[in-house]
Amino acid sequence: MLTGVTSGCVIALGAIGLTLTYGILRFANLSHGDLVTVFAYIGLWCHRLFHNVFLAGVATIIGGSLVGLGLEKVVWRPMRERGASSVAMVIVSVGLAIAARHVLIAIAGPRLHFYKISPRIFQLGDVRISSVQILVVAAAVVAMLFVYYILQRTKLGKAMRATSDEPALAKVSGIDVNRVINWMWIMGMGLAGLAGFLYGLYTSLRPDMGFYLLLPMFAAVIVGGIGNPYGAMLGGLLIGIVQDMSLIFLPSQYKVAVGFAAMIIVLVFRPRGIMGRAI
Amino acid sequence: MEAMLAYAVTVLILVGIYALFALGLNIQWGFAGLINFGHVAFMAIGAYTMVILNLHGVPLSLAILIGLAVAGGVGALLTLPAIRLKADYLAIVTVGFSEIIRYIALNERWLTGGAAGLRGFSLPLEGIVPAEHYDLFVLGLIWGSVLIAFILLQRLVKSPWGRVLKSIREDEDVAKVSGKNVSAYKMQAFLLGSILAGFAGMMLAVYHSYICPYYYYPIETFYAWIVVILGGSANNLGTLIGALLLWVFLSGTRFLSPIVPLSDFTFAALRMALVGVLLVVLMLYRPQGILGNKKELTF
Amino acid sequence: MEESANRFALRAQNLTKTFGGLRAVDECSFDLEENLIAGLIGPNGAGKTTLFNVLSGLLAPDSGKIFFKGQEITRLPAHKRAALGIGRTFQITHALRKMKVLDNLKLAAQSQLGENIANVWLRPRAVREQERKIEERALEMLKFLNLYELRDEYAGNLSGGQKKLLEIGRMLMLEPCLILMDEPFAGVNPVLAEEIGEHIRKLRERGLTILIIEHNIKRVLRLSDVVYVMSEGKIIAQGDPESIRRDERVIEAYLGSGR
Repeated sequence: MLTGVTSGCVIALGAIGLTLTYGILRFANLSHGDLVTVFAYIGLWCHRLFHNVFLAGVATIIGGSLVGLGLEKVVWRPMRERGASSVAMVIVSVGLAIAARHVLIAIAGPRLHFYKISPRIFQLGDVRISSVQILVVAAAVVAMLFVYYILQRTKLGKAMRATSDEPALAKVSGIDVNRVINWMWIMGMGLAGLAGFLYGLYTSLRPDMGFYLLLPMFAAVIVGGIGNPYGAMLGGLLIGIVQDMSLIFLPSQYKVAVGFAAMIIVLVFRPRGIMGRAI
Repeated sequence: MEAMLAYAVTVLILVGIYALFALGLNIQWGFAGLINFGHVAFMAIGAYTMVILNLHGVPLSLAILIGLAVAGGVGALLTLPAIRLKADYLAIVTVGFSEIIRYIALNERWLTGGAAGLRGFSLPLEGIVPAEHYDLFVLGLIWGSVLIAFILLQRLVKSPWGRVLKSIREDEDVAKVSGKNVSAYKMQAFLLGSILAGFAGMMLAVYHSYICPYYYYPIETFYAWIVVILGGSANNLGTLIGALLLWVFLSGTRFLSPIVPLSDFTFAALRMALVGVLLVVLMLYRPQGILGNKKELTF
Repeated sequence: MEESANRFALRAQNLTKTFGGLRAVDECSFDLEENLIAGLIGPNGAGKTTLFNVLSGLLAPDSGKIFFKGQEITRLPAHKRAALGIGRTFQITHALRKMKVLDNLKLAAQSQLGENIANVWLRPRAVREQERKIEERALEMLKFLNLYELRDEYAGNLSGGQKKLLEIGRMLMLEPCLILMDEPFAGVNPVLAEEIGEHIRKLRERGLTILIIEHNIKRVLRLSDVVYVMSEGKIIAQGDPESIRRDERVIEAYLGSGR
C-alpha cells in the first residue's frame, strides 16, 4: 500500500503536466512518458555529479522546465502557428517520444538497468518505511501545494485556469495566451522533471520505459478528469494504489494493464472523470 | 554478387511486409482519420493466431483465414468503446492495447512461447517450392499481396465508400446529417486495416520461419506511421513509396556503420532518433508528405 | 392521442438538455404541422441551436420525447433521422472544405450501393451506373442553386453565401420532408437572401415542412406561416406572425434579456 502511495505520487506529478497540456493546448502529449524517462536519467547523472540528492533534484527540475520551454519554442508554437489540429500535435508528440527515447538509448546504452546509488535507511514501526519513500512523498506533497498556490493564489494561475476553461474568451479578455502557455510548459515539465528524478530514486531505469510510464499517467489524467490538475493528483494516487494492490492477484507485468483497465472503465462509464473538467 | 542479390531480396521482402502493414494503417488514418498507435498489436494477433493454431494441428490455410478473422474482429471490437472517444483518447487506448498484447506475447509462455517464441509451423507451399528458392517465393507472395491490396484499396478510395470516409475525417457531423452511419464506417476502416496488419504479421513470421514477441514491438507501429505520413496520408502509392524510402534509409545507413566512429548499437539508436525527428520535421514543414494533396489535408 | 400526432411533422414533448449545470433546453414542447414554413425566434442563448441539435440527433436529450410524423425518434441516431427525411443546415456552414463542390453534393445521396465495400469490389458496374445517376442529380441541383460553374472547386474556396447554398443543396440531396435550418440568412447579402427565401418558398410548394431559426425578426415574420418563440429553453409563445409581433410575452423576453 505504501509503495502504491509512493508510485502514486510520481504518477500524480507526471499527470499534472499532462493534464495541463490537455486542458490548455487540447491535445494528448504522448511524449510525456519518454521525457519523464529522460529526466530520470538526467537526475541520475546529476546525482553522480553533485553527490547530493537535493541539488540533483533541483537541477533536474530546472532542466525539465528548460526542455519544456525549448520544445515550446521549437516545436509546439510553430505547430500552432500553422493551424495544426490536435491530432497533428499528437503525431508530433510521438515523433518526439521516439527521438527522445532513442537518443537516450544511444547515450545510456542497451537495456542496462541503472541502479541509483543512494543510502536507504529502513525505519521500522509496524511497517517498514524507507527514507526514500518519505522523500518522494514529501517532495510530491510540496510540489502539489506549490501548484495549488500558483493556480489559486496568483494572477498567472487564474489566467491558466481561464485559458483552460474558455480559450477564446481568455484571449479576448486580454490574457496573454502565449505567456500562459510558456508558464504551463515550465511548470508542467518542471514537475515531470521532479517525477522522473523521484522515480529513479527507488526504481531501476530503462531507457525505453516511456510508454510504461505514460500509461498510468494518462490513466490518472482521465480518472481525475481531463484538464483538472487536482483531479490528476487524486487520480495519480488512486492509480498508484490500485496498481500496487493488483499485485496481490496478478503477476507484476500486468500492473500497468490494471491502470489501463481503470482508465477504460472511467472512459466508458464516466468520461468526465472523478473531478470533472473544470479546475 | 550472390550475397548482394540475397540481401536485396531480404530488403524487398521487408519493404513489402511494411508496405502491407502501412497500407492497413493508411486506411485507418489516411482514409478514416482514426489515430491508431497500436497497429502492431494486430500484426501480433494475426501472426500468433496462425502459428499457434497451426502448431496445434490446424491446416495452414485455415489457420491463416482464422488469424485474419481474429485480427479484424479484435480491431472491430476495439472500436466499440473507442469510437465514442475523441481522437486523442483513441491514441492512448490503442497504445495501451498494444502494450498489453506485447506483455501477453512476452509473458504467457504456455500460449506464445514467451520470449523464446515458437518454431516449426508449416509454411505456405512448403513441400512444393524447393528450399533454395523459398525466399524468392516469399518475395513473390508478399509483393503479389501488395499488388492485390493496392488495387482493391484504390478502388475503395475512389468509390462512394471512400467519399464517406473523407467526409468523416473532415467533419463527422456533416456525415451524420447526410445519413451516414459514422460508427459503422470507422469500424469497417479499422477492420480492414487490422486484417492487413494481421496478414503482414503472418508474412513476417513465414519469412523468418519463426515468431517471437520482439518482432511486434511498439516501434513497428511508429515505422508504419512515418511511412504513411512520409508518403502522403490517404495516398496508397505514397505509402508504397514511403515504405521503400524508409527501408532505403535504414539499410543504407547500415552500410555507413563501419565508417561512422560509433558502435553499431549507438548508431542504430541514433538512426531511430533521426526517424523520430524526421516525423516532427515532416509534420511541421510538409505534413502532406511526398504525394499528398495539401488542399485536401484534414489535419 | 397518437393517431392525431400523425398530422404533425414534428412533435417535441418536454425535451430537456443540460450542459454543466445550465439547462439549455428546459421542458421544451411544441407541435409543428406539415407543409409550412415555421420560424423559431428568441433572444441569444435561448437554446435554439441546442434544440436543433437535439431534434436532428446530434445531441441526446436528457429527457423528453420527439416524434416525427407520428413515429418516435427520440433514441434514433442522427444518421437514421436523416435517412427518414430530416434535413439539417448549420448556423456556421459545415461545408466540406477539402472536398469539391460536386462531391459535397454526391455525398448526401441516399442508398448508395458504392458505400458498401462488398459492392465496390464485387459489383463495380452497378456502382458506376448509380454514381452516374447521382452525379446527374447533383449537377441538376447545382444548376438550380446557380453553383454549376463552381462544381470542380474545393468548397473551401467558396464565398460565405455560396457555402450556405451548397449546404442547402447537400441537404436537399437527401430528399427530406422536414428541414431544420439554423440561420440560413446569417452573413448573406440581401440579393442572395432573397434567393434563399425564394428557394424556401418553393420547397414549401413541394410539400416540405421547414423550421427556420432566424434573428432578423422582420424577415422571419415576412416568410413564416407560423412563428415559435423560445426563451430560456422553453417555447413561450407560438402563433401567426402578426399576433406574435404584438405578443407581450415575446417583447418581454427580448427586452428582458437586454436585447
